[in-house]
Amino acid sequence: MFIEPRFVLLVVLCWTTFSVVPTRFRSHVLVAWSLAFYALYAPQVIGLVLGFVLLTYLLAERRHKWIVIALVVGLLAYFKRPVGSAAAVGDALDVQIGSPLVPLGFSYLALELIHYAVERSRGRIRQATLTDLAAFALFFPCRVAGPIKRYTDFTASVAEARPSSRETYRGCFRILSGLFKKVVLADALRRAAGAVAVATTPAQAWQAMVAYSLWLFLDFSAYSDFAVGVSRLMGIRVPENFNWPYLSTNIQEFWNRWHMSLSSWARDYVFTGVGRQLFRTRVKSRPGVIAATSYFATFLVIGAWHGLALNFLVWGAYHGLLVTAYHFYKRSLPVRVAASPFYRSRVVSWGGSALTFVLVTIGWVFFSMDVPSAFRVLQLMLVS
Amino acid sequence: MTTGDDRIREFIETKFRPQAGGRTFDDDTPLFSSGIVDSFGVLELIAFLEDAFGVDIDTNEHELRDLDTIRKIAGLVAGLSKTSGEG
Repeated sequence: MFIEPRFVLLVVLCWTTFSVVPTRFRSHVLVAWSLAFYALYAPQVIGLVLGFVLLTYLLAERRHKWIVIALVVGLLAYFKRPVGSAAAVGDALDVQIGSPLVPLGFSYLALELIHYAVERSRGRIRQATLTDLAAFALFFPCRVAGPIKRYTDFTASVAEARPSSRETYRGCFRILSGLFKKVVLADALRRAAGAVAVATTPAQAWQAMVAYSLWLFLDFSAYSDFAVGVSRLMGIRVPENFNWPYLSTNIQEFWNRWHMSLSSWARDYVFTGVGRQLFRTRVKSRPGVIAATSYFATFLVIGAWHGLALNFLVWGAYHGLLVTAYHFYKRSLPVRVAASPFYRSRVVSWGGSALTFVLVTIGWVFFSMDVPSAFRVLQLMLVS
Repeated sequence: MTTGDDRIREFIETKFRPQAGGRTFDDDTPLFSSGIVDSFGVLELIAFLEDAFGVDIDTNEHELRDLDTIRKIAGLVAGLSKTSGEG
């Protein structure tokens, strides 16, 4: 999509208009070109998306956040319901950019609308207009595959944006980086990743899944590069989504560096809420139970957000288990070990990165195929 | 007699010393921005402060940066204690 002539034309027109209009009309410009984007790529859902934005605005003004949450989650669950078999290997990016059942960008829009309703209800968003909300919610560079934005940051960035040759250069560079990742690197790995379906030896299965891990990162981060780059052309800053996640030395760090806009959203709106509530109940004397429950709830929500098929829930539970296990490991580590030069050495750091990559790659098996196929591949990888 | 600052420091040192690689904490050691205290540690810290000092920390009102050092935490608790005392 990002290299289609009509999308490029849309970007150029939006960029030009945004650069010349007075600051107070910038949100109007973004709304107009975002509607043009929907008209081009998903005309059948314009009414639904606009209706949801309007409804969210009206309900949030009356501090009815729970109605917004119920409506958004209900609709998302309807669109994400499992239909037929789970995605085949190589189709997993469709999970990120939206399956055919889900209206274009609705997965990301849903989380942004919940964020808006909650923060408006909390009073952290002090002033809001329908136009600003529409500009935030419909902003087309981030509508396909995120990143998931925050209202206050976005509106401030739109107001403060200074389109310039420097911003143009940086935006173009980022777009070209994404293009290189997508066309040269990711597409070359895609075929190798798809070979997992016909793997008959452990080496073949591992090779294919490692290729899958790299492909998923390159492909998804390329989409993020496009989104960040197109925004940057106009001088608008949107959140980063990736920070060299496969160099993470443990699973908790991985989730601080992979799909960061999603993991920070889940931390703020699931993990913290569940944990805070549990600390106010009788289990507050058992923080381990609270930690495990909070982590599992958070990762089950992350899994379910990708789709309500069993494989995504298993993938979410798997990461909940890993992060919980790491939590207990970290808390039980003796100070003398944690402080030792060896523990803080590069050898341990590299070992941690290798182990984290292997564990994440095993998780992608569930993410990328239905559960019976996943167990077949895992048996090949781990038992044969 | 221990002061509020000492109790906060003792809690943080007991809970998070392994994550800090055994380092000791001074009043201005960054806790969250340095990665010593993670997301769950924030929840534990808030629960401890509410229990130990009888204050109510509204996470809607306070940002993470309000709790980033022992000095800031002690200041927040002192402010909240004063407010609840006046109320």
